[in-house]
Amino acid sequence: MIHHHPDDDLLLALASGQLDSGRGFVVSAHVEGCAACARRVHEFTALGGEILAGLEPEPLAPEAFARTLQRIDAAPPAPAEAAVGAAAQARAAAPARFPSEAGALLPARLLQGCAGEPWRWIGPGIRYSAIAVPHAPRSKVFLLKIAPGRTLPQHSHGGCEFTQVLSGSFDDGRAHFAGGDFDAADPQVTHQPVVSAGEECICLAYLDSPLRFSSWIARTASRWTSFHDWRG
Amino acid sequence: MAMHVLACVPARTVPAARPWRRVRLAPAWPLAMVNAAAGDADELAALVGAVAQGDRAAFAALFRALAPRVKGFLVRSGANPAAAEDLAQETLVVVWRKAASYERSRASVATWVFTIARNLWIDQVRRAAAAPTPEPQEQAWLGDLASEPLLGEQRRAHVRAVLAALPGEQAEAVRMAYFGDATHAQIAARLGIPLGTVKSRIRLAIAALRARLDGIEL
Repeated sequence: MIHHHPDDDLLLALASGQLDSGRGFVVSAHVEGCAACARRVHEFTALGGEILAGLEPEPLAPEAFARTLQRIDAAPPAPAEAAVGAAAQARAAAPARFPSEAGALLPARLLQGCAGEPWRWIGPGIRYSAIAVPHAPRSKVFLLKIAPGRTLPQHSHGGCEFTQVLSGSFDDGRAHFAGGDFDAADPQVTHQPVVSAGEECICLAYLDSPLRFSSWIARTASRWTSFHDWRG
Repeated sequence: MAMHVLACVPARTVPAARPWRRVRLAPAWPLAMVNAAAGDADELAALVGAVAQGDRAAFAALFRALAPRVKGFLVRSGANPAAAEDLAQETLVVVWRKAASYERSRASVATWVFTIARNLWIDQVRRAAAAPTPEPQEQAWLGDLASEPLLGEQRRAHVRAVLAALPGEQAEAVRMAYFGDATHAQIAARLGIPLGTVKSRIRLAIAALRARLDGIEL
């Protein structure tokens, strides 16, 4: 049972193409696994069509139609679509570069064209894997794997943080988040996630600026790792 | 969590709205509905059917009905007019090529065209933002309508009715939500109110929309 969903404004932003790659990726990971949100996105898409149909037309250049016909005649569809298809097939055939258990937790459709690095230790009981999504190698999407019962350092956010729980669960003082749950934390939120005992927790996350750790130990530790400064 | 999500949705970084370009703001909703409906849904579906058979006259009619609205949508979303014109043409090229795969039971023509334009727009924004990529990329997660779940005819009619029944101001705010931050800033400037106020009006309108979609009258 999913208890925490993206807000409607976020789902509408996804449906209307306003989310950048990183945000879009994490919100989509939720939507792919949540029938209620998938339905909502579909409704917002249908509404987008209605809004498009009711819109005041913007005059096109006089030669616009002729140009469109030229494009249709100039480039037969087969090669272009074959190229895209071949690229997709090549990606599908390529060995999954995701840390295996995390890759299995995400829908294959979402992982097309993405690459994840192997788990890296970034602190006691905490492992990290950066994810490159298509067109956005610096999209600030990553996986976190946290051992059962482990407490993350208390932190706030310079920007916003989206989290989609893939497995396990945690409690951050605001709420309990379990598999399938989504959370958006903004700069006003300071929290300290504590992973539930008994199962490690794997989360997909997006972060648009570095975390602000409350203790100097965590600040120092974060400087040792690329977790803090987003590698290049 | 509910309050600040819009603050987390960034302005598109590329392409930026041009400060020297005046975005023409849409008239009030009812007027737009009366003057500018793209055509009857049945009529559009019949045109797509004919286009699938290679009928260029039908394609010309479809082009006239939809391309100027796709351009309008993109301009309002922050595309510069040249890019919007180009993407509107490209959208109709895709309509021509994929007409045979259009399924009326899955989406209205307008929604189908909306998704095509949206995907081309996302692709262009991301290409512009990223380093040049060697291969064309598909929309991995927004996907094609073909692979998305079905929204039945009845539910679509409901969505349409909900939009038509929203009070004018809220319908306008919902439309603004689709056009993104570039338009919001313009509207804030035009009305002389803070951007945050525009955003909270949009948020309220979306809440009203959702309540009505779920059958709850606010």
